[in-house]
Amino acid sequence: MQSCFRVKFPLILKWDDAFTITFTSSQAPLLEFKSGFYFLCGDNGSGKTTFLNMLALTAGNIGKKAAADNGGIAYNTEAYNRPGFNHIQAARIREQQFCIFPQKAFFLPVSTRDNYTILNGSDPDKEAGFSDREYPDLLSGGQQQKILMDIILDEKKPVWFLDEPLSNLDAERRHYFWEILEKAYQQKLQIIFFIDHGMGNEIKSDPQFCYIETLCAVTENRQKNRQPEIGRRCIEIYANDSPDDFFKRKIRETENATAAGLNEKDLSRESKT
Amino acid sequence: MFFSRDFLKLQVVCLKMLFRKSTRKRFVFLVFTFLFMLGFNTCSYLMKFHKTETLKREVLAEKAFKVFFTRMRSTNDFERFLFNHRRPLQDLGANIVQKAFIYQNNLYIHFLSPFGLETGQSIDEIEAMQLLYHMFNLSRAVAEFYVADHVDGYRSRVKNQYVDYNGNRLDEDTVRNRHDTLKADLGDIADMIRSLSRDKRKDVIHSVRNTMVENLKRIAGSKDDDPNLYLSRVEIIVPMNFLHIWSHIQQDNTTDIMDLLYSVSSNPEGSIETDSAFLKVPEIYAGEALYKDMDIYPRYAPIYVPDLLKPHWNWLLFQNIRLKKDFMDYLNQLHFNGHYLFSYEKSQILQDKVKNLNDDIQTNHIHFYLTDVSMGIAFPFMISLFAFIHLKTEIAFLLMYKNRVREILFIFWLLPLSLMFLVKSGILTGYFFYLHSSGGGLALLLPLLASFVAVAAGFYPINKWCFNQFFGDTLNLYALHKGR
Repeated sequence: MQSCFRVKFPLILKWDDAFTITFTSSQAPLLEFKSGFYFLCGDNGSGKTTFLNMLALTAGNIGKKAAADNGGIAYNTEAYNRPGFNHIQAARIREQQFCIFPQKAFFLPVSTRDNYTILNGSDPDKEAGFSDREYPDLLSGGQQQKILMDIILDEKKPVWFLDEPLSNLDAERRHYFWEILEKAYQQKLQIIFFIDHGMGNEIKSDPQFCYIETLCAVTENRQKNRQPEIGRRCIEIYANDSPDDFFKRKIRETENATAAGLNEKDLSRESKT
Repeated sequence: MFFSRDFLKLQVVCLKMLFRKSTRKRFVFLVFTFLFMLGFNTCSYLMKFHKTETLKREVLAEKAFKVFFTRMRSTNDFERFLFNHRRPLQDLGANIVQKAFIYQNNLYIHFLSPFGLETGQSIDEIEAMQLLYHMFNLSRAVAEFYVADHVDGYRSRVKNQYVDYNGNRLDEDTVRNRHDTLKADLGDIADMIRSLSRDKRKDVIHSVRNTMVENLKRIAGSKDDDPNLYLSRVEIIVPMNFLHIWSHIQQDNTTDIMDLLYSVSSNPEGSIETDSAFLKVPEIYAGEALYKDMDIYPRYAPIYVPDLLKPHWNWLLFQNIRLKKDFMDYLNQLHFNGHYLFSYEKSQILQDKVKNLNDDIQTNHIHFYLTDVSMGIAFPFMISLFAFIHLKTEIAFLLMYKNRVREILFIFWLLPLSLMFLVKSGILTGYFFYLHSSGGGLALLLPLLASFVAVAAGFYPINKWCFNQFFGDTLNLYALHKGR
């Protein structure tokens, strides 16, 4: 089944009636995300993660609290602001369809095996591969990100939200990441939302990616007895309908980087001796 | 869904998270306080319950609260009473006992034969008689009254004695005085019966009466049995069968005078041998109040009301005693209309006792329900809040990947409830093991169950509200962008 997001602007997210983020589109009021790789480009604080949160059903108003006349999000046939839509259906969609890689590595305060069992638990063989004595809290940031990747990324899910997944990874692990991304895309994965601050220029200049939209995020902070603070930022969205070549290229690049890294290590070892 | 392997694993993970090192002390302290207060409150309720339940059983088992003696001034008065009040009393569930009355503080009561001589008696009548026997500690005396049945085919032998009901602690002079007075009373009654006869039977009755009354023996009541507190004014208990013998002689037209003279013989060891039929209720009194036509007045006739006090459930929340107020009002009305009660204080004591006891039961239960339900909701609410505050990132993180909404809610609903269940069932087991005697278990189980169910039902929406951030219309799973 073809997965598709339909976003109708303006999207409004309210926090306690004091802080509001409003997303509007520069071109058409309706934006569709179908099969492909979507790269979100923008400065820090421009609302990229918030926008992904709203798409991934992890933040924002749903059901009766989401005002239908202000726009909304629909995943396939499920409109998040339709009457009767609730947190149970949201959790069901997240579990069955979405794979969310968070900006910061986070775990339940139990062993890595328990983390896998509770958060994923789909593959008994893979579960056995995790240690029941290793606690993620004691690992470094990069190691945590590796473990989290193994736990969370699921090839059977059609939508992946990847929020800076490569930030702490070494070349070898980046290579691994692009490989599983390509593998998943060949299987059931259809839509990828990707945020990365280091790849912005590369994507913009890549002919395989086309610019599709600029989202304008207006933040309003209206506290009592204070002047309202209103800010305006932009998010550019680039899309690649057939990202296989892009994945292959990234795999090659990271493979070379890995090999170069290994050579450097060898050279430094030789020079020391 | 519930109690599957995944659920149990999730439960273990939740417990591990709650008892992790950084929050362990605070959580243990919270749980301990909860358990202590809950246990203390339940214990306090149980102690009071035990006290009121014991009193309730005593009141319900008190036989004196099932019989009331009302005063009749004369034959006509008694007739009028029966005519006017028998039906209303029956409507109120009460019956007039016909085979007993109190005259001159002495109870005259028919001793039922253990050999089945009596026939045609209603079940209520037999129940009432048995109750009177138990109330006046007569069971043994009645069983021993009939020494032998059918001597020579048609004759029976009975003891020629009365029971000195409250004379155990009296000095000999008083006892002797009462003995002589009773003998005089019996002589008078026999003379009244005799006066109805116009032939030579008078002499026979006179002779038999002299023999019987002269040989009449006293047996002291058992020292183990104290007189009933509410009827301790009753002095002596006389078998009414003695009166039957004289009455039968007076009525018997089928037997020769000479044979009648020998129909009753008194043995020196204190027994009377007579025709078996003479010990039965005389036919002229069948279905009637015995000897109401004799001038044995003023007398107190017993009214038997078996269901005056009954255990009563109030909305299945607590069990107290229901007193038939209509009957008590009717009795009061009789009293103030001249049918004085033999012990008016008893009726007042009864009403006071029931009122005080019901007040105690109600207060104890209302206090228990209020404290238990409020505590049972407040502390679990605190536990849920604790879990939300300390585990909100973890739960949000979990819910980002797994549809465990219902399970998480169920776990944090179940956790305090299972603690409550453990404490209460433990205390309850202790109570049943050490204090509970017998019966009345339901009166304790239902309130505890009702309170538990109320807590479970009341805590459910509160628990849900606690985790509203994950389970409401505004989702807020921080972990994606906030991290830890």
